[in-house]
Amino acid sequence: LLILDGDKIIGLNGSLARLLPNPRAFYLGCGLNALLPGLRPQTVPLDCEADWVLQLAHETVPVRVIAQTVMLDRRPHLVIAVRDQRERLRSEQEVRRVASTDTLTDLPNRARYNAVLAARCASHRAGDGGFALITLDLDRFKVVNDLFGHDAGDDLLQRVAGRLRSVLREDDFVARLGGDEFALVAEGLGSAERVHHLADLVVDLLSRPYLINGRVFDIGASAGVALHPGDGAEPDTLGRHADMALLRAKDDGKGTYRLFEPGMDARIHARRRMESDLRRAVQRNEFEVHYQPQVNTRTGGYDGAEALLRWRDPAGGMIPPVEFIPVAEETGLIVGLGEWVLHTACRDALDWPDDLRVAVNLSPVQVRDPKLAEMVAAVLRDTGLPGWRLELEVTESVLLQDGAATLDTLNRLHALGIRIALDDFGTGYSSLSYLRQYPFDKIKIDQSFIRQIPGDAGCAAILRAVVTMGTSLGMATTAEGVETAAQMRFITSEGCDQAQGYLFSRPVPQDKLVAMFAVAMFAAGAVPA
Amino acid sequence: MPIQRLLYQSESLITGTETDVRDRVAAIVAGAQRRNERDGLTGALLFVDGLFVQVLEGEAGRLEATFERICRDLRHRRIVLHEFSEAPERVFAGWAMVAVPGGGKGDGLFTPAAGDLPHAARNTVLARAALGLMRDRLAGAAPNAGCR
Repeated sequence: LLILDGDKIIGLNGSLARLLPNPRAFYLGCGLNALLPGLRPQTVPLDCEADWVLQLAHETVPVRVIAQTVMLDRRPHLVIAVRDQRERLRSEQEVRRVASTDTLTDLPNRARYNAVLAARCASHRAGDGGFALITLDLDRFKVVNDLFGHDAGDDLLQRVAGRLRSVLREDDFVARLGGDEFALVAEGLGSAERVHHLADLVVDLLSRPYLINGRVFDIGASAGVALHPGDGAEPDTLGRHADMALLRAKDDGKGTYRLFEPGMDARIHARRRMESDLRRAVQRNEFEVHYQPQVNTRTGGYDGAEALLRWRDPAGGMIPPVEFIPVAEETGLIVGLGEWVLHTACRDALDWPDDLRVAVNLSPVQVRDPKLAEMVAAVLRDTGLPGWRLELEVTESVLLQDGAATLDTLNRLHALGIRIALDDFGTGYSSLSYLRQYPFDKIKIDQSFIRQIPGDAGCAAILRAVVTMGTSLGMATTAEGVETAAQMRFITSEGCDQAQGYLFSRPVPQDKLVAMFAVAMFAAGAVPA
Repeated sequence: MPIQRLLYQSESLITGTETDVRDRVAAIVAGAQRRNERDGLTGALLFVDGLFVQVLEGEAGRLEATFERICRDLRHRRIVLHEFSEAPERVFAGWAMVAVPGGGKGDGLFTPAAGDLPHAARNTVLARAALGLMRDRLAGAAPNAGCR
């Protein structure tokens, strides 16, 4: 508090005196200007506080002032309250800092990144060299979190932040966008060579080993680069294009970087369109299940049929599975679709002769689902199909996933009486050693081998070896893609148990299949009741 | 007392005349000596044909922190960690950091191609060979202040 008589200071209280460099007496008799330069007694507001600065010896303190008139010795005096604002301003700044900072790594956060990117895009003029936006993503970070806990994961992210800071030059900017995503804004790189050099350096830097609590983590990182303004003048476009380049780097095997190219836009758009079409198709149920019969090589009769998913788009065309299955797997839509196929196939099989089996494919994504065996059991219960009439086909890639969990899932399915078949044998990572460990009832030899027999000696030898191995392990063998009578004769003579292919039938809808089965039974003299 | 030891190799990004490069590598060794003495670490650095091979040994936490600083260093790249394991005793007990003389028999170990060895092979073959080679080269050299 400060008491004025006219323009003269006649009193200061203790708390104000403590702020000031000189003793209290020094100020008595001075003008208001000595402490609050430029402030005149008449203009000090009476109703609300005003910002001003308090003059100390060599520095100033931000303050707020408000005045009141009081009667002293029957004369009006002005009493001015002076409030130090330093603490408030500091805490406000701290709040702003916290709001724009990622607390784990102490890097700017996504909100700050958005603001900085927008500001940089706005302030750059055409022809001034622009800047590069690099978005980054760690390649195997999830493994660290899952296997070694969040403490190890947090430690690692802090180290990543430290390494990224080491490449920053003046005016560069790095932020953590969330999870294991980071972004770097690099100014004035000028030449393409320097852009490549920086991207390579950043990937190298983050791919170096991390030593945490006696363990070595080899994580790796991928980066996508978009250049302002050529790849996008607006922050949204630029950011999206850097992300597309990043996706491309990850698709190309990770541990690398890619610069944005206009073609990526089209490819990713096509991919997105496929994804949204697929979601719509699931909702409208544009799918059908077709069946390809499997023939017993000894009797020549039918053993059953394999269920195959077909997508008929509204225009009437068929979309090949190779185009939509990978998208369905990546988006997780395969889980629902797979269940629908299973349900449909089990229900349809009830209309077949009751000694025939139905084979249904399982995607690796489904096999990874720990609830798969329960789901299959529920479908059998709902439809009433006996377990022994169902055969589930898995590909070799399934075996590369978490071995113990996969084995457990397959064993639980096997325990339901379901037969398990190994599909497309020979195309993947064929290792004879794992065949023994898994409960396979049947090996399906890939059509790429069958196509070349009996002419190709190598393929013939492979077929013979697989049949022999199957026999010794107690597993049946099926030849896929049998198209000619010569192929059929050869596989039969080699002891293959079953054949499937165009020689017998293409995949057909349920009604056609049922008709084929009926004809076969009629021919065999067993007319259905 | 068991200690932790690591051995890595990396490609140098230091450019300049032969003298410049030598001076800068010497400065790296001098800086490492100072810090390692403080942190109780010992080790050796071999610089040959643009490749660094460094051994560091000491208490695990200090070693990890030092390696992280090495990984933030922009003067080299393509770091390959060949060994990171517990060891019964220090090999370079006399040296906080020492430059191993290069240009002799056995330096062919440290070619970029050696980095292509499968991981397990790198660990056992290269790390052991490199460690032995560096120790032999230092036989008879005067120790600087290190940890005994």
